[in-house]
Amino acid sequence: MKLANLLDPRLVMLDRDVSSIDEAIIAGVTAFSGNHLRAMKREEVLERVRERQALGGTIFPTGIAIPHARLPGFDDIVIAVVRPRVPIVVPVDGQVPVRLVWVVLTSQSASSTYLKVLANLAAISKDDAAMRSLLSADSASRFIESVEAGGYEVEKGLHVSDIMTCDVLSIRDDATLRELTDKMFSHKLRYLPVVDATGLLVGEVGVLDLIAAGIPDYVYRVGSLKFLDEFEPMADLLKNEDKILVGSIMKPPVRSIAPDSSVLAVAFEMTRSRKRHFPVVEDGQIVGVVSSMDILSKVLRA
Amino acid sequence: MYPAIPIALAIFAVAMIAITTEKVNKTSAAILGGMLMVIFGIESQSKAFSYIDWNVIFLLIGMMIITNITKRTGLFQYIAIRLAKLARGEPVAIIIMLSVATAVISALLDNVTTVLILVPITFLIAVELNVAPTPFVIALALASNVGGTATLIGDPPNIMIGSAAGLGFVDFLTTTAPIVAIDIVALCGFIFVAFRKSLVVSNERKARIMAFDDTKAIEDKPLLVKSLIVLGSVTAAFVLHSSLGIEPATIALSGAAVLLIASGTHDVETILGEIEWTTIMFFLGLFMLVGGLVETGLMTQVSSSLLGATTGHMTATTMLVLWASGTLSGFLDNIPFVATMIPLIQDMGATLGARTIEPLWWALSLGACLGGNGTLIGASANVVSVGISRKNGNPISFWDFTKYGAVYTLLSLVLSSLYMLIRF
Repeated sequence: MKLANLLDPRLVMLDRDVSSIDEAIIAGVTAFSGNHLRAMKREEVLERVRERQALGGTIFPTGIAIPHARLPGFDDIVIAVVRPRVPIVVPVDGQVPVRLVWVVLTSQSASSTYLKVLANLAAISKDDAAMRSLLSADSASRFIESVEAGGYEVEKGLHVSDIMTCDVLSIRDDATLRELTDKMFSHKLRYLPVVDATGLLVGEVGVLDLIAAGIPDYVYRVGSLKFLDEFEPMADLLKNEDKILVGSIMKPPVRSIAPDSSVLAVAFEMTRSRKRHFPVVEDGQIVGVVSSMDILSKVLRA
Repeated sequence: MYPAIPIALAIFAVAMIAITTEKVNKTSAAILGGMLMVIFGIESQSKAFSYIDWNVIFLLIGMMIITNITKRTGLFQYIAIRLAKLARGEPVAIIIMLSVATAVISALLDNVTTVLILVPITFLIAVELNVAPTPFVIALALASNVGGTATLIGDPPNIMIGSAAGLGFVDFLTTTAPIVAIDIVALCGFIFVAFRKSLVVSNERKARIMAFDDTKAIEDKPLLVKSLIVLGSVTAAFVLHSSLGIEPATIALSGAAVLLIASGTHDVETILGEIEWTTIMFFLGLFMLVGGLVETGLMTQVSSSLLGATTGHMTATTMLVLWASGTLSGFLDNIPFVATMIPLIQDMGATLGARTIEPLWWALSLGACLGGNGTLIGASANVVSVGISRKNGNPISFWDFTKYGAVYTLLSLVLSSLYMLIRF
């Protein structure tokens, strides 16, 4: 299914006089009124879009906003476009003025098409050529043609590649624990995939694995250290962090996830193995990392 | 009709080779061996099951449950720390006291469990003292095997011998315990001589041991009280079991059930899950395997030819059993060895009378249990202790262990021979 086919020329409002995102939302929701909203009241829909808007995360650094809401008993997906005559200035530090507002309504449970739409809209905003043609389109049908020209597809089924983090940092298996500690500390990372000299994924290491390296095996076996007041915390680790290699504390990757795995499959793996991060691998090379926070922020609260 | 003896012997031999070399998991080998005896018609299924000594199985299960609950209380860590402080951080004194404690605990509990609990805490003490942990690890492993010899429930061979020969807890206490006490004294002397020079520590290090707060080692005080009551009652019942007319397995299982109920908050499923089912299944398979051999009449033939050679030479036979089992147990798993020896000695008893052959049972017990100290692979407790040491960056090689183990085993077998000669 093409993204362009979800757009209705009657819902594309170009060069509107709106001075805030909220005004754009009102314009969008008002345009929906009538057959688009079925049994829902306009006020009720507005309320829900505003509630979601208050949670944040709907204004993108690329100069677009995607106010949206999930509606109970609404088994559809509708998109309204508001192009302000003058870009809307948002009171957020470093935010470029918003030049395009997409108002999206969907059902409470259906996810894949909806998330694909959001991902496509975000992708369009990053594509300078596409944005230029959308911002210069002189009619609703031209606007939709521009979207169509981009070839954006909204397939069924949400994949890991849609929600994973792509610019992944990794660490070599022959790096020392000092390098690992520094990298985790400076990038505030809890998880790093481990690669060998050729860039192939050979393991993974979490901050808990690092801390565990500071606790000797016999301590685990004793089971409790309550009777020890003067045990130097992590003394051995700090002393040996230049000697111990990442390869000796890493865990082999439990299961590598392919970019085209379904999000449900990853969610299932995460909950079953109680692991929050999975490396995403294509032909042995890491192409991303998918974490439980990706599911929270890009699926459950997208 | 199959030629029963050659087939049974072949199944037995292949299974024993698999068990000894551990080419196949020994539990799987024993179970399959037992089942092959049934499939080849050596023994019927009901006959095979009837060879299983349920007194052994349930005594093991009962004691495992009691141990699994008691070890959660922190009691054993408490004892280790308390002793280290009583020794005022003096390493030779600590090693001797911990060896004695290990011997006493493993007389009541399984040897492997005892070292699994005590070796790590001892390792911690050695690290805090900044001395090589090797002497501590070896001493504890040796002590657990010696201690286990002292009682009916201390080591699986004793459980099997006691059940098969009708020897009770008190019989072991009055027969093996005295020689074990002598062996422990010898062990302390041996440790002192062997390790004294390598165990020198600074005053500051000793002070670190004194800073341990032993009271905080107790994890669960109410559970500790309950465990001690049950463990005490079970031990008392063992002492009285002949006069009470209650079998040891009944005592152990009852104690386990009472403690399971009393522990309340602890998850019954977790505790029962921690029973070493592979060990239990190993015993089940082994009994059926040896049962097949007995069923063919082969054991009776062997024992009657042995009888011909040994009649009138009971002392010599006793010494032979002691030293043969003492030597073989250094290289073979002593459990299948004892399981095979039991029907042989039983057959001899049927002819000579139970009283006459009693020394043979004791010789088998002492040889099989003490012999495990002979090499690193002689007893599970050795393998487990050395394994913990290796995982903590302190590898102990086969010879490192064996040079102390073999000398001490020789010493303890000589002492046992003298004891047997005086006693019987």
